[in-house]
Amino acid sequence: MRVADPKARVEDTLRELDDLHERQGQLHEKLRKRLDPVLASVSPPAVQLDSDAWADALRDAARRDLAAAKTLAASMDEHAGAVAMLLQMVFEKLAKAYLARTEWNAFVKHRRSHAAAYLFTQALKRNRERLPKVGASSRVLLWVEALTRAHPAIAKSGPHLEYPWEQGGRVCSPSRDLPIVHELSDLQSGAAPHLLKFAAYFIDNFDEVFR
Amino acid sequence: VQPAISDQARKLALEHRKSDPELFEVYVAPGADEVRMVEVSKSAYTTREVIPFRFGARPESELPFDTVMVLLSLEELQLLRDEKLELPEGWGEFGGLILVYREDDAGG
Repeated sequence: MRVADPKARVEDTLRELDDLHERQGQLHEKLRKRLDPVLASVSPPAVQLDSDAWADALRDAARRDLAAAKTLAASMDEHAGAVAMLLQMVFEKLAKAYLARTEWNAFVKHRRSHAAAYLFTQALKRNRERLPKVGASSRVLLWVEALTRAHPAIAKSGPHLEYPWEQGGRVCSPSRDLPIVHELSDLQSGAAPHLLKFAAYFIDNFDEVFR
Repeated sequence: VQPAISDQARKLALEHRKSDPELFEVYVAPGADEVRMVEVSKSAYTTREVIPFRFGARPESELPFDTVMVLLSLEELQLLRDEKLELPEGWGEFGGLILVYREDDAGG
């Protein structure tokens, strides 16, 4: 029924507005409940400890990954893909240890990044002379670059170490079709011994690198 | 930017071009007693992350300042211009950067 009284009409409209506000609040709360867990899953917990503690922990983790890579490298042909993935993890941890030691705020912000190793390798390639104690030859850095590039975060839909991909009418696999894995299993290339040695040297001389 | 900082940045840019012939532009962020370089390369992959890496001064190589560099792809340069990406904390905004190298400088 149409309300003719202007005052009553205004009161009705205000009530409708109140209802709308209430429903908006309920919707807001409902959305917040859904989004909070998503936010929590993408935001890492706050950092409590200092840069030395983080750098040391990352270096230790890199050392363990490297030990596993060395063990698998003994049966190289069969496990070249796994050795490549382990070395990729070694260099990611070393890049983050370096970041923790030298640019703490950036480390806190990017500590879960999968691009850090690729970006560190690019920076290292350009500044090799300024880190003589790292002992990186340009040849070794090309292999490290190939490894760090072969990560889904960098390669995107292109070939990488984790999953097969389609190319030329067939499904390609990292162990069969990724050049860096071939190089790791190729004794003549020298990639495996050089990369294992470079990673070990970087880990062992980590504290010297900054002097 | 102190002239000495710009000089070191330009010297490094010309050096970096040797290992990266696709180096496109290099900028310096002002306001610090160190070289804060933003290198843009056509060869860089797009990661949408701007992570600074620090390298110590080497006075014996005529590089008296620490160098902190970030590497960007062309796409990331545009994102930075559009304020969809941020420079590292304390580096200011894209508009405050000073261009010290572009690929046309290839003659050195």
